Amino acid sequence: MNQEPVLELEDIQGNVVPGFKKDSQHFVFLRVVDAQLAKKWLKGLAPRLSSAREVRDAHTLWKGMRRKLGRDPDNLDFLFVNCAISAGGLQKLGVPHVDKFDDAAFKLGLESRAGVIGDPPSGSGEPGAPDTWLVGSGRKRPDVLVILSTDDEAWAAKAERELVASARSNGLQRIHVDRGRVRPGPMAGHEHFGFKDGISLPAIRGRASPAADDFIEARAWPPGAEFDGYRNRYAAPGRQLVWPGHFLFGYPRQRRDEPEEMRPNSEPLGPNWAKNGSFLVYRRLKQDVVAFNDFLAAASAALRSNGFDPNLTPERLGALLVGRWASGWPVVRDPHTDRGANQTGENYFGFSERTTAALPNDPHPLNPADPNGTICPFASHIRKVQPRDDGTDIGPMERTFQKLILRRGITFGPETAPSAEDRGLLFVAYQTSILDQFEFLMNDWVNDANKPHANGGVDPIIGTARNSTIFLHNGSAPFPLTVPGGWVVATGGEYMFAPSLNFFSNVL
Amino acid sequence: MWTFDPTARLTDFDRIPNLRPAWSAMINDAYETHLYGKPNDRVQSALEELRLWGRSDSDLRVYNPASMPMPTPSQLKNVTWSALPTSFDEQFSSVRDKLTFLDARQPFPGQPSLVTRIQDEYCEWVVKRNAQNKITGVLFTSEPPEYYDFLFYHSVESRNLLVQLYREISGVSTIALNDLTDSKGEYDWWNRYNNEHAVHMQQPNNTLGAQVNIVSRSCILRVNKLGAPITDALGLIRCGRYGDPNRQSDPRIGHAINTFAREDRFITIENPVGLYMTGVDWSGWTTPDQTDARTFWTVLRGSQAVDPNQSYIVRASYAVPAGKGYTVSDIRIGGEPIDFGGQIAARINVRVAVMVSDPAELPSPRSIGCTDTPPTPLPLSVAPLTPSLAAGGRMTSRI
Repeated sequence: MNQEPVLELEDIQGNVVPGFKKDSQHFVFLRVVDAQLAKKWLKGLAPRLSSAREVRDAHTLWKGMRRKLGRDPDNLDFLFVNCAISAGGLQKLGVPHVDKFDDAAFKLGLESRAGVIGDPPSGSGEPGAPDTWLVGSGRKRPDVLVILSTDDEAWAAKAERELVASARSNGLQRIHVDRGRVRPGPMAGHEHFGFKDGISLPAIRGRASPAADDFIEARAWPPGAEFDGYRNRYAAPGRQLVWPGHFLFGYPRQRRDEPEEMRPNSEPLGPNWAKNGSFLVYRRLKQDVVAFNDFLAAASAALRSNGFDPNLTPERLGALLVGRWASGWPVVRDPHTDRGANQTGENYFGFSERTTAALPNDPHPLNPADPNGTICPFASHIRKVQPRDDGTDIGPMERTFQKLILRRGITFGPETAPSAEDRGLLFVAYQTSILDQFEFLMNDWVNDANKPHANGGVDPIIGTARNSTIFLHNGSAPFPLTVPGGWVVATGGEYMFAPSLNFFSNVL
Repeated sequence: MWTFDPTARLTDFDRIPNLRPAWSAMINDAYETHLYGKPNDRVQSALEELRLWGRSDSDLRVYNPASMPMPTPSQLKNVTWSALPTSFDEQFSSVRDKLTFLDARQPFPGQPSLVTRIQDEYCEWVVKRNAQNKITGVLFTSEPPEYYDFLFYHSVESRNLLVQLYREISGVSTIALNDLTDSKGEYDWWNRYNNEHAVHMQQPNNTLGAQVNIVSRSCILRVNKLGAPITDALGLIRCGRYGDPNRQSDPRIGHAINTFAREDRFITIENPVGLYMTGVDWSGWTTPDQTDARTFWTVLRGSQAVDPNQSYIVRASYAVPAGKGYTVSDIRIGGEPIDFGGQIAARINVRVAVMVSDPAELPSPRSIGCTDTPPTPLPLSVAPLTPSLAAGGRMTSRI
């Protein structure tokens, strides 16, 4: 196995790695109106940008305090700042060699690509069409995105005001702001449909220093030979180890079917200044919670009476559509009982193959083999976007590693509201190929009823199809379910590039 | 009596008496060869490999439907993948370089004197360009070369039909038989007209034979040197050496078949045997005059259904009529002009379908080792087939 490269953490923006993980995140979208002034302002932003090293150290400090206090520290907070620029913004700023990126999606921008990932076309009048977006289309296309992130809502608001005022007097115009908040109380970490989010994230390969085992992502398997088969491919249960070139420019990517091996000279194509940078996909997704819950109630009643399950609850139906219970417990490990939140084994499962070795402190049944999607439906959201050990339309499971993205999203909007109220998810994801990662996931897997599994159906949660059919199973008997869809609708977004800190200091 | 239909249920054979039964016999022969082996054939059949390990046909779960009645119930199961190959991805750092390579014929790896279409996902294409290098049309084919081999070698009448089909498909009325043959007088897959018009697939492994071989041999259960079952797609194709592990299709097909076999299901390829384009994903396509982009897609042979899993497309074209005033290259997918046929191929799915029985009430098939492992004695632990299933079936005679 190849040694993992040392990542230049001082130069990488901290929301790429390790991710901000803060309760408030403000996304400030700006347009360049005076390129020279804006360039100078962005250059001046460099010292304020939070590097991966700083964010990592801050997390370490915070976790240490939590351990010490036995609770979340209430007087230790940080304001993290990151910045990304769209292809149009880079052009406006006169940054050279943008054309060297080998990613047509980035260069064209999300508005042009919206149709490919299933959004209705502008002019159609349909929800989700780019011309209905709050940001990201027509004259509302942003050049610059600044992310402000802290646990303190008031601090985030103050920082936003200051930032916008400063930008305004320096050649930039505010287009739009999204204000993300982690949901309060027991719903913290849950998206608005009620499901725990962010449990399964890939782990970036790489070291924080030349020390051989100073891995950025800790290797967290318990001792025991029964887990040895996992150690070289997974940082922890369910967390695939992915070579950094899939998330960061300037680093190697995986050798085709060998997740343990990197491929020499496989760094993603781009300008020299792209090193330590990453493409950022931003999607403002509105969720119609009332319509989703109404569907679960009506559909579960129908499925109770047609022989699927006389005791089916809306909660269990929701779990079958997502692939996890609201707590995050995986359906494939128990399709009938929610085993609760924060359990040791919540990310320890496969789909095709049964798991045989139990983790310590993981008393619940392990997943049986489910190669036909009779336990966890093929259409379920988590099986569509992260098919794990399933063979897929692209071949062996080893190729799925290269499709994964670093998700950094956060919820927005009020807790309780009528269906028309604006709430949902600010989807943020980092990768080095929008074409082969985010767009692949959306176009090939989420929205194609026959991929990654033939006859699997489209993703009932984030798929853009209307009135599509998926199949649930009682034993081996299939039960078709018509899914009206439309509960998650795009209301904005853009493809951007989160450059290195060096870019701001020395390239701009 | 069982009859294998012509690929995609094409009706060409109806023009000559007895051509359909002859085709059916040929497909039957392919099954027999790849499942059981025939004297002096050069194919490693599934049964021959099993026997090396002291196993028998009771360990096979793929069957020839002409020899064994299809178990009832049996369900249709598809395996789907993209027509755009990924085998060569690591040779190119840019998408453009890759698409340029895939659009042109190339020296075949390991046999550089053979210049062939290199597209290896059971769908090949030929790009037509105008003097300005704009794409005016792209021809796609999933027709197996065996179909045309069959016409050439079967009879004088069928040879005439071969020439006729070439004329109809290409629109070139002057094609003669010797245009289709090589210097030895054999049918030439790489003849000028197939090269130019994508009459049928020519990548040497895009064949029905490969399809039957992969399905036949991937049903064999495998264990590694430690005796542990091999169940993952990559492990299986490397162990069983069926198909090309670099493709999307072959490892996926093999994995699906092996999973069914491990569940003790009986499997056979859907009749008509073939590999089929299912249609095009039109998401994000735009034309200069707002004409619906799908208007320019024409299924030329086979059929397209609303349900892609019921489509049997083996030949199609994507072309803009001359009178439109623009070309295919002026059409955009996600804002990107179509500069390569591969961009369209990326939006086409290909499928193969198999009929799969419910799990049999039989002892599980026994496993064998990998093709790179010398056969060693393994425990003989399987009981003979139950009489009800085996009755009348080919398998009875082989126990």
